[in-house]
Amino acid sequence: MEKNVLSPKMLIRKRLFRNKLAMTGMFLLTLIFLFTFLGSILTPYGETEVFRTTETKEQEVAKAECKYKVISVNSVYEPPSSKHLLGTDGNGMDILTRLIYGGRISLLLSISVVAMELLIGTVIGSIAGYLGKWVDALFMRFVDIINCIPSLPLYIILGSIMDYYKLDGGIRICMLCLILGLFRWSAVARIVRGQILSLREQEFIVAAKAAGIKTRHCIGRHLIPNVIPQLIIIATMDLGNVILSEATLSFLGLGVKYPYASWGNMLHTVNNIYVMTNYWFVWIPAGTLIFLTVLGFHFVGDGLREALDPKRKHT
Amino acid sequence: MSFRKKNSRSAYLTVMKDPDNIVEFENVHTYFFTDSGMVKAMNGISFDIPKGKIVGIVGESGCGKTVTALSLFQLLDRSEGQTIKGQIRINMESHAVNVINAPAHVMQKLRGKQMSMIFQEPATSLNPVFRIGCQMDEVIKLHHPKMYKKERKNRTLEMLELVGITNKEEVYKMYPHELSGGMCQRIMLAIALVCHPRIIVADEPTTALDVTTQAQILDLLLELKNKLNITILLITHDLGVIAQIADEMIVMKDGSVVEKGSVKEIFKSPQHPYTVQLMRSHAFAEKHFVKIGSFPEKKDSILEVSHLKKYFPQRGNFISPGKGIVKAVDDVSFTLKRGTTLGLVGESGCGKSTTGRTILRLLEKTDGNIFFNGQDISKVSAEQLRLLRTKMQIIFQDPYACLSPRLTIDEIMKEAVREHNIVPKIELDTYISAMMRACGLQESYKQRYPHEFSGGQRQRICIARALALRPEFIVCDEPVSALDISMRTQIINLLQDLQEKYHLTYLFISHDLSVVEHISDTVAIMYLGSIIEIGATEDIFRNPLHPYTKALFSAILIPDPDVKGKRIILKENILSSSLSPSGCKFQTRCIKCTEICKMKTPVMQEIEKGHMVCCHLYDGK
Repeated sequence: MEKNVLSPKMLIRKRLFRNKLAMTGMFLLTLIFLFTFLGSILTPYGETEVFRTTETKEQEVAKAECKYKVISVNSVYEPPSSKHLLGTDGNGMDILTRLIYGGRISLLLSISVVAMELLIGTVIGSIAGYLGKWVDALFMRFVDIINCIPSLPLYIILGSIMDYYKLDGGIRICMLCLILGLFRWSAVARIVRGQILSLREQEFIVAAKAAGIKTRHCIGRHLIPNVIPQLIIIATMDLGNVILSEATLSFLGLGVKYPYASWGNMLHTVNNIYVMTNYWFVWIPAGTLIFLTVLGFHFVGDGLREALDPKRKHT
Repeated sequence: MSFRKKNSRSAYLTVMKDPDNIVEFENVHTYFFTDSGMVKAMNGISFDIPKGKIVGIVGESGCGKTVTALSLFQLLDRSEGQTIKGQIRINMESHAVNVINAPAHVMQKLRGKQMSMIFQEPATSLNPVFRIGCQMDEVIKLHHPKMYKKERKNRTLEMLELVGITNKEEVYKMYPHELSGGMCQRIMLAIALVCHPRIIVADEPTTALDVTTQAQILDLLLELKNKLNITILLITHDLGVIAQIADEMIVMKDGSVVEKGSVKEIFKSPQHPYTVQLMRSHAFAEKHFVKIGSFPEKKDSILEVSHLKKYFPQRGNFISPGKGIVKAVDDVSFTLKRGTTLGLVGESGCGKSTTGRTILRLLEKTDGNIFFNGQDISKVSAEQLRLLRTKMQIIFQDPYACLSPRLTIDEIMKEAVREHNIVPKIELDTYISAMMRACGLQESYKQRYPHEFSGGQRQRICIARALALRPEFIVCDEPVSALDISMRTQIINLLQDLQEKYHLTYLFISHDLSVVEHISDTVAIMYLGSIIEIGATEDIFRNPLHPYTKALFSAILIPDPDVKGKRIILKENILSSSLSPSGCKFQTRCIKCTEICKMKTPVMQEIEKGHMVCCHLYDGK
């Protein structure tokens, strides 16, 4: 009867690795991360390198003879070729290279923003939910205030402030991360609070209190683990949202600024109908990558949620 | 098309073996397909339900009782459980239907109209957002679409009257939350009866109810059976219920019928060893026995509660201010000697759990004093209280709800021990193992999660957890009410063994007098927040004084069909503690109520040595 008993952690790992969907997601994410973080070694071009149209023979001759001044033109919207595997964009930059560099920013940004919102949201939400009474009222009114701030005008103002101080790209991205994180946690806090309000009334919390467990351990050990499924769902959904909202903010001048690339930024070229209908190679790759990333996170998140659920059968 | 229709018709039409039967089960196999393999919930079950009889199915939880009912209704989730083999025939006078083959639209017409069901939890079986009348109306409308609205209302009111609801017009307009559990169960019964079904399946209809309410509902079922000649399939784990009202019984174990026959015969001479075992565990619950060494040498008191009050304000809002207070615990005093047990008995809502929790300061008291080991614990600081918690522990009614679902047993057990540094870190593992063994648990359980255990094992885990903190005093808040009868005996024995071994003091809260009897040295009866009778267990059981105590005693179901004790049926249910009138609190339900009871609140008086009662009947005696 006594089989070798697996420890809970081993069981979780085993269940996760058995989940085909989660493994597919993991594989996808690995590929995407490798592509964005190691891809720069493979591409011969730089992120902001602008390519000119190849000069025709006549032009070359004319140039050599200095007959008249030849203006070289950026090679804009050049379709995929062996030189530019995914073509060039509206500024004559190599799309594949920009995807690689843009991916870094998009992934880092989305992961850190989601991590930040989960952290703040969970802490505030669980404290409000567990302690209740005036603490709850205070925190939740604070959340309401945050929700009341009209975000778009605020973003524009913050963007122009950053413009005024002429911050450089790296700092701008950090600031963007901070701003997004600081304004997005309210939804998480609300969900966590709601969950904890109902969990708090359950007897295992009374039991923990009766055993003299400290409040912070009560929250950390008994309540938070029970909110994890909801947190995973929020996290996977928000990862995609953050990538896209970064694009909006970039468009408004707050986010990643030209000439730096981000996936959201690149996808945003579709707001030009002409580009959307005629140059598919400009926006389809960025869109596909965002789609695959979100899908990958979803698969892994789902698998993780199932693996962490002790009520799942062992087999 | 027409061919197919004809074919499917003949597939579910069948003939009854005996036309006097309402339902016949023949070799029914219902299996569940889970991730961990197939579970044979019903493994070849055959029995008949004759017309106009109450047939009881008895067995421990997990034996397939409920699946039997669900198979009859074909309410099992097809992807999980399916009836694989056999026939379940229902008699429709002109023909019979085999529900296993019947298509969905036929089943829909059968359910509600030909057969209906009442469930264990009346409060959750009713839809909280609709009025009672509306919910009953809906059922009639479904099965009699041509009936006029007025006619439907008359039918509904008639049914409400039938189930013993006197203020039917009022109840018609009420919402489920405005009614007590017993009333809700009556409504459920009325809904079940509204289309004059051939059979009613009652799945543990009284398990969630108080003993006094249980007596009422059982009486009602009997009355309905005699009046309407209705057939009832009664599912229960309590042999007492079967003995009192059923005509025939079926004993189930692990998905099979182990014994069936008339109730009288089986109780007289049970054939199967399992039936004998079941009867014995019930008999234990009935046998009067005196605790060895009761009333021993003088002991110091560990807990003194004096004039404890706990009021809950009924909160209002901006527009309408609060409507007053609910006196959950109203002036309770008692003393508990070290190493003894006080049984606290009363109906649900009488404030017994609140008393337990207020003593532990899980709820803040409104007034009064609680001395634990001579220290007034209502005055200690939060940090001191946290350290004091190791000395006073609590065991809850629902062992599943009080174990964190996402922690393993090991983590659950270790947590508090580590928090209070009960043992050095190196010894922690061996200490936990020792505690688990003391409570009859295997060490290998450590890596499992709470949901992987049975109810009895979970309660053992809770006891082990409480015990690991080396407490002196444990509040047992209905620790066995959620368990099967055979488990009850084991858990109570365990508690008694541990009491002897570790010299523990218990406050044992229960709604069932028969449970309290074995474990308690003294018994206190509570009614609407006050103790109305207190005394040595022996004295109370030998000579109950208060009319309410007497009613409680008469509500105990004796598992013997020949002893149908004269039950004192209390008229009304408790409305709410906030509405208690002046004078004696029990006056509205008391059968011996006199003028003085309405005028003056009775005080505690000692009738025998140590036996106190709070009733005007004993004034001047």
